[in-house]
Amino acid sequence: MGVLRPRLLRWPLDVVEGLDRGGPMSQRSRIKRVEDGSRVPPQPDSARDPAPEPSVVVTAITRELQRSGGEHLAGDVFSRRPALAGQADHVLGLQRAVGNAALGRRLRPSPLTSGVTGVPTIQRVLSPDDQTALAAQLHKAMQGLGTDEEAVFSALQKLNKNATDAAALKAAYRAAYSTALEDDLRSEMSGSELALALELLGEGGTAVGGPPAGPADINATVTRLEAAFAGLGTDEEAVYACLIPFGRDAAQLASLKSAYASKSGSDLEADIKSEMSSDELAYALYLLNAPAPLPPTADVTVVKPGTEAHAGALAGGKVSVRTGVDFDVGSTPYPGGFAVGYEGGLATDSGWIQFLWSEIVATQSDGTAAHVAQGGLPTTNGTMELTADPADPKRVVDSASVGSPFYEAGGVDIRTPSSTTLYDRPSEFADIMTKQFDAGATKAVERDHFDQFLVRDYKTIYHTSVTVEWVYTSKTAVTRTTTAGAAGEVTEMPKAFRSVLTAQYPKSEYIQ
Amino acid sequence: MRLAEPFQERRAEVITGSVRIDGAAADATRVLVVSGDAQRLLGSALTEPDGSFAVAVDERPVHLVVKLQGPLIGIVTTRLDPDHDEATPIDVAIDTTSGRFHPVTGHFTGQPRPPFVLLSIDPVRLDGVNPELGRFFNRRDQRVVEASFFSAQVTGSQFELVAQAGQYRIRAGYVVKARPVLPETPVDVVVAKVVLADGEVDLAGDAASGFDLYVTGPARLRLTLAPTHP
Repeated sequence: MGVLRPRLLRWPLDVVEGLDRGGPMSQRSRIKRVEDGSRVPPQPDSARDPAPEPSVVVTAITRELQRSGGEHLAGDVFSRRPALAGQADHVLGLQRAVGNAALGRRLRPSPLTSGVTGVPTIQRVLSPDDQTALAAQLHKAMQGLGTDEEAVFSALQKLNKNATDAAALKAAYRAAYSTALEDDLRSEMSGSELALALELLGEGGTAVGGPPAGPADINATVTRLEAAFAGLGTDEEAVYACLIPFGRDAAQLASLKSAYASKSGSDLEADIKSEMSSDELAYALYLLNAPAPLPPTADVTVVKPGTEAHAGALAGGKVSVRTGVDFDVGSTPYPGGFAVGYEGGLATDSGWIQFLWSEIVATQSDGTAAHVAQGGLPTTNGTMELTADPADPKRVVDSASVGSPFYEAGGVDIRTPSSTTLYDRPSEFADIMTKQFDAGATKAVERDHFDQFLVRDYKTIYHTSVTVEWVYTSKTAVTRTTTAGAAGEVTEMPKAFRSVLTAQYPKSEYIQ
Repeated sequence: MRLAEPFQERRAEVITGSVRIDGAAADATRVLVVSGDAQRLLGSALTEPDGSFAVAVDERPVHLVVKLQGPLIGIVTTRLDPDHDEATPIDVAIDTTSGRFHPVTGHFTGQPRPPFVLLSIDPVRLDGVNPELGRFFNRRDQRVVEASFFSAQVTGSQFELVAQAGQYRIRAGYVVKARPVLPETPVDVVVAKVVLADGEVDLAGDAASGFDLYVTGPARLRLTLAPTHP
């Protein structure tokens, strides 16, 4: 176990001290104060919480781990603060639920002391909504002609071979579809596919091991991958079984790619692409390249929830688009924004990818209307171009992260173990709008077109849209309206969007 | 009863030609065709790699407006008379050594320094160009108007251009479209002051509307960056 460096220790201890004092402050305000770097003021004894709220600790520890690159040991925080020790199990459960592989790896019981081997240690706590969503995913995968085996695997891997969760899933499946999950699996699959599915369901098997504990495990995985690719055809299930235990831990997967390149002399991702296609490829690339689930966070304080402009349902969850939302980011108010959220099962495996294109139409002095063209416009993540021809929209992925296309990876959001909601309040290109009047325009209209796609694992499952319009009738007279547009379930991301996504984020090729 | 007027077929003629800059073919150069009264935009085309262009119009006289949008900046116009023979190509030859074009260099100072500065320059009135045509300087075609005649991302602290003699409006900055909304609001930066370095003359104008630059010879500019909300 490494030595905790004082520089890294101070921040989470501030959190812990604040939590010890507890008091009437909301969870949100506690987090905010910690993020602001200010200490939580002492509270009277009567206001003390009997126990800190674990989710706050999870957030604080997760962020510290992210900042420290995993060097910081959350266990040390517990050891330094005995008052939190009783919360450790709960915290671990929650943290595992949100899937932070780095923390899970740090905190997992040692195989030497626990006597447990061969079981993935990044545990999840599956809720009833999770089970409902998983059952629906499995049923859909086995409905009709043919079977989407990869959808089956991606659902069952979330059980982590946990017998309790497997039993709950079987019950949920039987309750929803009046048939036994195992029977359906045996009816739809065979051979190595069935074997992997049953193993993930906890029905025996040893192909899927625990997270790699060191170089020896990594090298063994490389050998198994080489064997899976050897000869005619590819043993796809063996590839999945190799990659599932990594839990989308980017650091561990980087080690695997490096070891694979050293031993085989070729690139693992390239070999996967040359050996697999369609759903198989998407699932394998998802296991290899998808970002790890994000921890709970609350970047905004909702002041006014606004009006629900769209309400949709998915198995085990619901989608909501709200307009006229007032929210604060720190001390900055964002009035009249919009929010797009998913609440329900498998929320930790779901995220929003938002696309944007903008157009400005200026009414010229002769009464004609013309689109305004301009490229190279700075955004908080690169540049964008105004669309001059609406038939050819110049879309961008609206993410602040260099490595992840998901809005939640950098934009403001509220994320809990059972929901993920993005908050947005775009601003117009005011300088370009006002400049049109200098050039003789009598009116200028900007429209920002947003499309949001809910992606779960490697599949796109829901689409919503929002348009924000600003109308300038002079340099200073402006009105703004926000309108929710088309929305509904989808089975894939439309090509026009996916091409933008993969061009901007090549590692997102796994998203269908 | 009203008698029908004699039917007159309107024949769309094609104006062809080429644009050359110092003897070299000018690729992807915008050519506009404007009505003879300088009131209507009739056509638009981009030159091919060999500098050639073709625009179909059905009236004469017209103005041909060739837009030089960087790093050589300027407008060259030609008037085609009513008796212009469409079989005769219009060759627009631009000589940058003729004394009509001058180097313009700029140097950014001040803080903070953004990742890049978006520089934009718009001609206002150019020597040798009918002022009536000014309304078309930023037109791309009938559907599109350009926010800036010339714009470029300047990643370093300096830029160099060559501009036709005349009056321009220059502005620059890093005004961020907050996409997406972040936990921390980014800082916008604009050019708050422009000085003609030779003689230390402040250019008139402001950050929002731009600064008036008169190019009469070689010009060295010093542009001072400042945050919009200190």
